This record gives sequence, structure tokens and C-alpha cells, in this order.
Amino acid sequence: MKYLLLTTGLALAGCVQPPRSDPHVLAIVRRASQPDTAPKPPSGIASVRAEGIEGVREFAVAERKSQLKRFPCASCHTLPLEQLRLKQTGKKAAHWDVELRHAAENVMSCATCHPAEDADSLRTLQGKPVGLNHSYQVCAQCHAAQARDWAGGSHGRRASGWAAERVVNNCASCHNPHAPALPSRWPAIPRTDSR
Amino acid sequence: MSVNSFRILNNKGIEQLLERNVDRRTAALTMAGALAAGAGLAATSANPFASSESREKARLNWDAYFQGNFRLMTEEEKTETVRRLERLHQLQNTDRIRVTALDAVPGVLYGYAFNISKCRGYMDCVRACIAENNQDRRSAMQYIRVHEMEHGQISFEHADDAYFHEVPAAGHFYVGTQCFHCQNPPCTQVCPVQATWMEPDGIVVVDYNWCIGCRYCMAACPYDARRFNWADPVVPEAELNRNQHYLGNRLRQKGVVEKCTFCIQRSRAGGNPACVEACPTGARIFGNLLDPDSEIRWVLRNKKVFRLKEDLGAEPKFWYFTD
Amino acid sequence: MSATSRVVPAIDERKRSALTGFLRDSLAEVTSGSAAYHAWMGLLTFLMLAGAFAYSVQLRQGMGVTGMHDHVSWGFYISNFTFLVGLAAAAVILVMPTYVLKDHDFKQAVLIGEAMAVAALLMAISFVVVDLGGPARLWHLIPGLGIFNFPSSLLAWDILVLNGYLALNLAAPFYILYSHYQGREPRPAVYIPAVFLSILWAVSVHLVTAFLYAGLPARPYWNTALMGPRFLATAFAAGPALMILILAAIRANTPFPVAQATLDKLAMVVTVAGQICLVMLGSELFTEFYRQTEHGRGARYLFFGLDGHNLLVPWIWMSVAMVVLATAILTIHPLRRSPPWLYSACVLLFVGILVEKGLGTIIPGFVPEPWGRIDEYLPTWVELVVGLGIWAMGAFVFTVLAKAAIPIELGKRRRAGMLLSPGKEVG
Repeated sequence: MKYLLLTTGLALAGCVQPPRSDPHVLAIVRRASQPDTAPKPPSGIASVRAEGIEGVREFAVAERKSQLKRFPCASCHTLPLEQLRLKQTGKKAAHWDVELRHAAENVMSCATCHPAEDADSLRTLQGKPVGLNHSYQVCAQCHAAQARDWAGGSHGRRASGWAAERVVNNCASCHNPHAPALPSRWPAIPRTDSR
Repeated sequence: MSVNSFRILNNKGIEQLLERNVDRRTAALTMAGALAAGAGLAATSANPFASSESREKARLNWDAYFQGNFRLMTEEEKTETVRRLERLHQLQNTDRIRVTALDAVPGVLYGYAFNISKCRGYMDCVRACIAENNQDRRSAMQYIRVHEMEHGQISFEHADDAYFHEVPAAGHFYVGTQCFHCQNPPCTQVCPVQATWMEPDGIVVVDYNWCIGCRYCMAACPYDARRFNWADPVVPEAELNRNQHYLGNRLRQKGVVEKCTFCIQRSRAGGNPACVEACPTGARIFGNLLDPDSEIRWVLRNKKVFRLKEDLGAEPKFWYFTD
Repeated sequence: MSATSRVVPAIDERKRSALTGFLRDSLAEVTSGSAAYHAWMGLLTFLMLAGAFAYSVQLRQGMGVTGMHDHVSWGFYISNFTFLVGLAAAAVILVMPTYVLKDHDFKQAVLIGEAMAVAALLMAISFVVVDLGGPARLWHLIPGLGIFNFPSSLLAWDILVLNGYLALNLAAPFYILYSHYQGREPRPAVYIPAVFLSILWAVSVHLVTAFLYAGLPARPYWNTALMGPRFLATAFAAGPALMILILAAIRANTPFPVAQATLDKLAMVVTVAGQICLVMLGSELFTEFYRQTEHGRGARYLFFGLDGHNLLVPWIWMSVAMVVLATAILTIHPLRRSPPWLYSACVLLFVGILVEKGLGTIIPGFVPEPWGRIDEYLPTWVELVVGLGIWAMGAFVFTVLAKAAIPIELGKRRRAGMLLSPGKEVG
């Protein structure tokens, strides 16, 4: 009953205008003539500047080398590959766990990306060496559309927050280069018939 | 910028209304006669035998009951309000939380894009969202819905949002929905007490202390973005996210409406929302619509984007696209 | 017009102010009565207490004890609210001819109608309050203390029109009754403006309530321009139908004279309103079903069920059948003029519209929810008992108001010392 009394008292209303907002979001975006070009704060993420990417503003790529378990490769690859193979006879192959499920056999093999003569680098199809931090350059040779989306921002995950300097993940941060397809798996939470 | 301009409303809120030099508690006490809700609190706060802690708790709850609308608070009042929340939590639990009231940054308007080609239905976003935003575990409240659709049509009617099987299922694709933070939000327009509004950076928020629980906003939302606390929400102390924002993931009470805030506690601090960070496929893109170099702007420029139910004119700041 | 009885006052009573006497006499009137009267009031009190208990459960445990959930976030309470606003608005159908057209057939019914409006409004407001998650925060609505989001929120409009209408329906009858109590004729200059205002107000009350829903594009089932007019039509059918039943009950149980002409005219109103209701129903059904769009899924759920979900289907067909049957009975003149048929038709129409408003108006707006998922809704015992308690409260208020008003209108209660001049018209 108290509430009734309270509500009864509400007949005399103050006149309040609702917040009016411009309904055209894209127009707002278009009208933002002052581009926000202020330097972005550093991301604090170990990264390298992306190289060889054109048409987009400079950005950084998550550093890869420190993430690798068996690097530098030259710590094992002290001899040419053929001699190493001879030495290993009878033992389990060093990269036994690597199964190439990337493209058809007649398209690529280990040597398509890994030059026999320089274990610590990758190589382009033309044989140009590419550092492991810039492995995206190797991927981009075939996956041009993905590379374009990645450089622009619609493919891949951003490593830094939205406000900081742009650092994106390397291709190999998410995709296993030897089996790049994402796996199928069970959802992270069980069935919910949440209402 | 018109979108960022807010009219100062004629409301004062009780604390704002009362003369500054009047002791707030005395003032509140005079008002309280008609309100049964505070009676128990008043009894405790006046009881000389109650422990000092329980008296402090009663006093803080009392102040919280009479606090004004957050949007109209001065900086000092905001600070006082979040300190009160922190102290109350400390009194009720053994450990501390950190509540901020970080304001919108000028020149920022948040936008979001969802890549339908990329989403694989893993629901990592949903799990991260629940953990980040301290959602009620008992009712398994979720802000995000992931709809499993059959190839051939985008039809929510025929989609399944409660799937649990290995994903992605053959012949299916996935579309996530959540609050779209409309630029012309139908939900805020209908609130009878302006407990929900759009912030200058475009985030639609709820003042959980101001909401009266009428649920008109839930009826008005065309996107099923709002959730109601049908009972006291439960978050185990061990799972509590202690980094909180007043308008975001701080603990809610029963009887109030809540919703996605683009993880305001993270985004206002420069971070990405938890769903964006958790998505292993990169299907979720978040950023500043007013920054021409942002990823979200790149998507709007370079992809064929669309929004859901555009005919309703709510102007969601949430776009969908395919590769 | 009726027996004039002389009240013999005690000497000290002469000194008492008229207002105190009015209130005191009214209190005396409502606290005395037959055993049946006391039993009736006792029953209502019991139901109100039961409702209060159920509400206390809801307050303690949260709204989760209701059948509502995030996808059907309004249910039984808001449905009842909607129906009762219509009932309250229907009082205008009695006020207008009496005061404006000087139609004396309706005159006696007016005060009863306004008492009904007051009771219905109190019930409507109560149903909104029990639907709130935070009723203790209602002060947030008070302009100045809180924020009253007017004119943006239609709920703010509704609060305004409901409380305004309540005030009007309390003030005008109070003035008339109080004048009669003092043996004076009420001055038209005082109450006629209020009456005109209340006529406009009554229409706006129900229109605003309809706009509350119709203004939401999120809910295509509600988003129809016909919603407001249809609300009015159903209200003008159900309200006077209940009125007929109440007047008949008053005629049978009290000395209060109710002219047959009053009932006849009300029956005519009910008939026409019922016919209009059916035309509008047909119009809605046509647009919903001629081409079955996604926006028609709410209506499909209501009338035929959707994907095996069909909780409401039997109810809505029952409601349609009742309204059709009642309107048919009323349309046939000989049947309408026969009391048993008339009363049966009124019961059918009232219940039919109650079910249609209670289940068929609000819930299909939520089922399916905006993304097409179907989560059905049924009220729980808490909602039913709280609702019953509020209806009992309404009946209680109405009984009290009618009980206090009837003797004054009969001239049995007058201010101490007043002598009623013979033949003076009352009521």
C-alpha cells in the first residue's frame, strides 16, 4: 500500500528529454574527419615490425622465435641433412611428430619452406631466406587473400588491446604450419538451455 | 560530436538534491519514514549493541540505498560510490575487490564485427564472458548466444543455440549474437527511470543500483541482449573476477537487469572484450570506430558487412561479414 | 426518489465537521452489515493475506519463483494489469451519458462504475508493483528525487495517466457523494470539468497502455496500430458486462434501485462493443494469417501452436468461442432482453476477454523470442495466489466504496442534523 501512495504521487511529472543520438553510425564514422592518428601506446608484447606488407598502416607481428621449443635449429643441424640422416639410422627420426597435412603431396614437401642449407630460416618459393619471425611472408605466397585480410585486420587475432599499438599474431601463432586446419572439438561449455 | 553529447537531465538524485551541508544520513533518515525497506537497516545502524563492523555495513547499505543515478554523479560521488562497494565487499567477504568508474575516453566509439566464415562454434567466447563478467552461475546466465545454422540460409528460426556436439558440425555454420550496443537503442528509450543509457563511447550500460526491475527494456530489445536476475546471483568467491567496473562486471543483486558491456572494465582500460580475446578463430573484431586505422574500420571498408534486423532502425554497432 | 429517512442526531454530533462525520459515517457503514457481508469481507481478507504471503515468498527468493524467465519476461502480472486498465477505462461509458448527455438511465450506475474504476486502477497499479524486481526502489520514479523518464518512456506515461485517472475517479464521486451527504446538489461547475477531463483521460489510459506494447518493433505481435483501438473495444465490452452483473447483484441484495433501463442500455453498449471486438479480431487474424510471415509466428503460436508448443491454443479458442457466443446472444434482441441469457452472455464475454487479455495479449509477444526460440510460459502458484490476492483487494475496495455510497445515495445517511426534503432527487 505504501507503494501505491508513492506511485499516486507521481502524477506531476518532470519533463525529461531522452538522450538523442545520431542514428547513422556510418555517417558518424564518415564524419570523423579528424583521424585519430595520435601515436598508440606500446603494447608491451614481444613483437617485430611487419615487413613487406603494402597498403595498410604499419603494424607489428608477435615475435615467434622465443616461442619455439627447438630453436635455433642449428644447434642440432650441424651437418648437412644427408649426413644427419646417416647418423640417425636405427634411431627414431628427429621430427617424427611432424606430419605434413597442409597441401597435396605434389604441391609441397618439407623443402618447400625449409631450405636444406639454412636450418634457421624459412625460404620463399624463389629461394629467398625468411626469418622465422616473418614466417607470414612464406604463408602469404599461396594464401594471398588470407594475408590481405590478416594485414588489414579481419583474419587472425590481435595480440594487443584495441587501444595500444597494433600487434597481430603470426600465422603460426594459431595455425600449426604443418597441419594448419583448426581442429574440430567439443564446445567449451556444456549444453545449456538457458532461458 | 553529436553522438557524444549528453543532455544533463533535471534529476538530482537524493544525494544530489539535498543540501550539501546537511549530513547525508540525517537527511536520509528523514526521508525514510515511508519506506519500509530501510527499516531493518536503520534499526541495525542505530543499535548500540551491534558490532562496529555490522553497523558500518548497515550504514553503507543504507547510503547505497539512497544513492543517486550514477550517470548524474559528480566525480567525488562516483569515487565514494565505488569505494563503498569495495568496502562492502570486504566486510562481507574475506578479500578485496577493485571497482573502478573509469569514464569514456573522448574520440572513442566502440564497434564490433563478427566473421561468420570464421566462427566454428567452440563457445570459448561464452565461457570467457561468464568468467570475466561474474555472471550468475546458478542460472547459467549467458550474454552471448551462438546459433548453429544449416548451410543454405541464415535463419535464426531454424537455428540451434543449445547444441552440444563436436563442432563445427558438418554442413553447419555459426552466428553469435549478444548486445549490439545500438546507436539508437530501443531499450534505453523505454526505461522509466533512466537506469540504462548509452555512454559517450557507445556502450549501453545499466546502473544496477538504479534499476527498478520492470523489465521494459527486455521487452523493447529486438536482439535478446538483456538478462534479469531472477534470484540472488551466485559467483563462487574463488571464481570471482576482482577487477570490476561500476557499470560493468561488479556483482549484481536480484531483481535487476544486466547485459553485455563490451567488458567495459577491460575496454575502457584499452583491452579487448573477453570474448574477442578468447576466440581462437579470430572471428571477433573490436575497436574504435572513430579511428580510421582501426581493424573495425578496415572491415567496414573492405568487407561486405550487414547488420541484423536493420529495418528496425536501432543502428547496431555490431556488424557481420564473411571472408 | 426513494424512501427518505430521517436521521436523528445526537446533540454533540451537530458540532462535528461535515467531513469528519462523512468519514465516520462511512466507516460505520462499511463495518456493519449482515452475516453474509461479513463472510464476504472475511473471505476477501483471507485471500488478500494469502496473496501477501505469496508476495513475501517472491520478495525473499526473487522473481524466479514466478514462471517468467529471460525470454518471457512479462507474464501473468502484466497481463492482468493490461486487462484491469481496460476495466477502469470502461467506467467512462457510464460517465459520459450521465453527465454530458444528461441520460438519467445511467445516473445511478455512475457512482458504481466509478467505484469499479477505482478498484480496477488500484489492482492495475498493484499488478505493476508486484511485477517489479526492486519495489523498494520505486522512489527512483519520483520526479525531483529520482528520474521520471517522461515523455520518452511509455511506462512513465502510463504511471501518469493511471494515477491521474485514479485521482479523477476518486475526486468526482467524492464531491458528489459528499454534497449529497450534506443534502446539497453538487454544483456542475465543479464536477463537469472533471468529468470531461476523465472522459478524455479514460480513452488515453487504455491507449497509452496499448502504446506501451505497440511501440516496440522488437515484438511484431504487438507492433500493430490496431492494438490501441482493440484494447478500447474489448474494454468497453468487458467493463460494462461486469457492470451489468454487479448492478444486478446490487439490485438483488440491496435496496438500491437499479432501473431496468440502465441494464438495457449497458447491454446495448456491451453488444456493440462485442461486435466491434469481433470485427477487429477478424482484421488482426487476416493480416497475421493471409501471408504467413515470420512476424506472424506469435499469432501462430497462440492460435495453432508452433513446433509442438501449444500451451495457449485451447485457451485462446475457448476465449474466441466465448466472445463469439456471447456476442451472438447479445445481438439477438429477445435473448438480450431475457435476464438469464443476458447474464450468461455477460459472464461469457467477461471471462472470454479476461482470458484473451490475460494469455493472448502479452505472452505471444515473447513466444517465440526475438531469435525464434520457443520457451513457453505458465504462471506458478505464487503468481496465481498474488494475483488472487490483488483481485480480492479490488473486490474489497469496491465493496467498501459501494457499501459507503449506497446509503448516501439512498438518502439514508446524511450529515447529522440534515433533513432531507421530500421528493428531492438523489443519486
